[in-house]
Amino acid sequence: MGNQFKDLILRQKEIAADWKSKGGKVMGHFCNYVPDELLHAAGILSIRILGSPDPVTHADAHLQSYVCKVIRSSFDMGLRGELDYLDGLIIPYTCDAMRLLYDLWEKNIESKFLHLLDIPCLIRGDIGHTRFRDEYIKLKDALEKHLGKDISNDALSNSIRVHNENRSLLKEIHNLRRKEPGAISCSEAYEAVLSAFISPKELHSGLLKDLLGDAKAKIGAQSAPAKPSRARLHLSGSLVTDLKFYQMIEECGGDVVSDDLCTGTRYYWDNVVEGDNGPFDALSDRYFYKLPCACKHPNADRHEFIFDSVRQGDIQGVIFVMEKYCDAHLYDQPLLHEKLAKMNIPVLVIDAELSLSGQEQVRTRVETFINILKRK
Amino acid sequence: MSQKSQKRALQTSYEAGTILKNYWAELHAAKQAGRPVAWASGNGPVELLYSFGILPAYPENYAAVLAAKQMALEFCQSAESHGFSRDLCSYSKINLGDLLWKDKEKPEMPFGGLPLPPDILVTTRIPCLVQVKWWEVLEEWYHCPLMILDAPLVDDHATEDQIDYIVAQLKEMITRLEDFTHTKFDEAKFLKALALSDEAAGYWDDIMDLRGSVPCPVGAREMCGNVFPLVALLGTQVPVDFYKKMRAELQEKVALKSGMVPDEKIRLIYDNIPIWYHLELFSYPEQFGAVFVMETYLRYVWGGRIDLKDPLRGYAKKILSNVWLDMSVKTRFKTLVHDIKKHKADGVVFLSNRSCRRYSIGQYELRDMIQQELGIPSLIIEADHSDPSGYSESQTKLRMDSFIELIKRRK
Repeated sequence: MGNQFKDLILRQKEIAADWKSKGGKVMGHFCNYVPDELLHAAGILSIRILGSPDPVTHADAHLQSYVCKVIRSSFDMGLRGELDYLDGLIIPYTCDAMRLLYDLWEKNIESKFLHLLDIPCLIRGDIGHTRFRDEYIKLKDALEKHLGKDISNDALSNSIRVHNENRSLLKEIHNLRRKEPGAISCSEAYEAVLSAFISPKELHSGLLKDLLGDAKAKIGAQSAPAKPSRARLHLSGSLVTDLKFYQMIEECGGDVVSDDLCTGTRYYWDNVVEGDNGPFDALSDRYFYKLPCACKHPNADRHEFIFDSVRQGDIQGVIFVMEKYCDAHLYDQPLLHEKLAKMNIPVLVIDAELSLSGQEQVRTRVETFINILKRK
Repeated sequence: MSQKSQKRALQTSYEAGTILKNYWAELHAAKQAGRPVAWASGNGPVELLYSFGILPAYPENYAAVLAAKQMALEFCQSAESHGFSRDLCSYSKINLGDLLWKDKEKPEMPFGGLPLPPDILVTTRIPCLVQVKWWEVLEEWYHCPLMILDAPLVDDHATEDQIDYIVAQLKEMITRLEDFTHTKFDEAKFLKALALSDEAAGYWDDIMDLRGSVPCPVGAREMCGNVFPLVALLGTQVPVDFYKKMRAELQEKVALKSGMVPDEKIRLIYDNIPIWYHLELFSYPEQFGAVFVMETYLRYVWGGRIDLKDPLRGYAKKILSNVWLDMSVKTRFKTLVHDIKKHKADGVVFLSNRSCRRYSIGQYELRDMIQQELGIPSLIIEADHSDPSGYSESQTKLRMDSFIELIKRRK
């Protein structure tokens, strides 16, 4: 397959420029709770901003160092003008720091369009549901007003189809990898997910189909089903964007076959189910009921998702990648850890500030962990 | 670290200790008698709980008590040793560390400790998302009902749809509390609780305004010991009587121009949660004629007036209004500018509080904006509100010294 997904990530500005040259707009956002479909239906290429492992230079004058690196470095990118190519930015109220980032952004960085998606913390029950939907309506209204055009139901239905296809393909890759060890490498699988955040979905889905086609051909050519030779891992946390980290896991003899990351299953697990109430309500429902972020309450579905995955019996260990200062995930972790220990699942906890692979100590710990799993 | 007690400027302040003792005695008595006890977050709908006969205990406030008694470190370490990150809110670390305490003999706990187990958990995102996450941990451990009052941040004034959101949640809470207590919601009792809350908050606002007089009649350290009834007992008679008396005493002092310090030279504002294990920092500048006349924590976290003509909406509006932590940065700035002028302040001391991101993010902007707009200098000190590890008392005092010097030179 080569490095087509990695290439998309490297060429993201070029792709965005290409999109714009065809008359489209490009907007950034920070989170899986921002409905990409709505942007797509308005002709906008959505870019999820994932921060940068580079040292923070400008943001430190505005923001304390005890704020997570995703927020600090993304704000830094904004201050340095690296995001000037965006035609707009949507910041959702997920955690408190993200909400306050909106205020800092508004004050310090000029944007053509800046919107606070003020979604509730409650993601079950009628009261939260109404508020959530109302905030989605406000986003739709704001986009329509800004662009001077309506987002039609037909356009939205089409965008839902495009995004459902993309998510279904990512899920198919997940399921195939789980069943067929070695069919698609861990690095390639996560390159595929991470590139989805910044690519036109039609283009990206095409590449996913190629990847799946190649993998299935490879499986078909095997004389006997491949046996797992690597330690099979579940990766838990918020976002893990360091591609070299996945490579490191492979080099240490591991394979991530399951995760609950927002740069993983939490992005693509659930599809929009269009029913009788029209595409907008279906869209809002998908995001309201989806596999939740730790910032949302109740959070049991995420916890159960992890346990269900582990209960399938093929996971040998769980690695928690804990982004420093990410309160929501940090409160959950000890509880999850304890329950996994009761299920006799070995656990490794790694602290991260976006970058993981640069630290020799991390490699040693991952290597030791995987060696222990393999001996079990 | 030393926390030598200070002679009080107000006679009424000496009553705070008794109120605190009585509150705790009542809490333990209720628990023993089998009456339901809630564990509640600050800024939660406490008046509603009282109207249902549920007494609230405050893990957060109790953590501050432990910190003020120099007992926090061991509990923070206990939580950390059980996997809770050292970067989490130190109030929560103290509470979770207390509950997770194992092996070693536990120190003697002030007021006999929190009443265990909680019968119901009540929390809110008004101050922060951290409260919700912390209470989720408690729910996991105690398997009792959890009620959450979610809220957006407020820019300027609460909007109608924001108030609607709170009202809807309050109505649902009432239904759940009816189920929980097997009693009908008593509207008269609720209205009475709201009226008492509003009356106490009115006195408190007056007290805060009286502190704006020149010279300032009472400083921050003493007032930190006086805020508890406003945190925990709103909706009862206790804070009404206490603050009414305090207001009268302050009015007298102001009329006599009797100041906290004999020769007041510098007036300071403080932003963030007090450093509970070093409250002396508030009284330290008094030797230089400097006094803290207003604190965002005392003025804009607790209390709040209620429009009793439309009780549920009025209550929702109060919950969303004038809470510093729930204000946008823009609104914090507007409010701070207003208060600097109103209180004739010469400088602002910001505590950049590493375990309270919700309070601290935006402080650098506030510092720059008040410098630009008003020419008012600021000092940013770094510390944690309740976890004393890594704190240097002498360093902080040195920085305070230079700040006072700077203000003196400018005057």
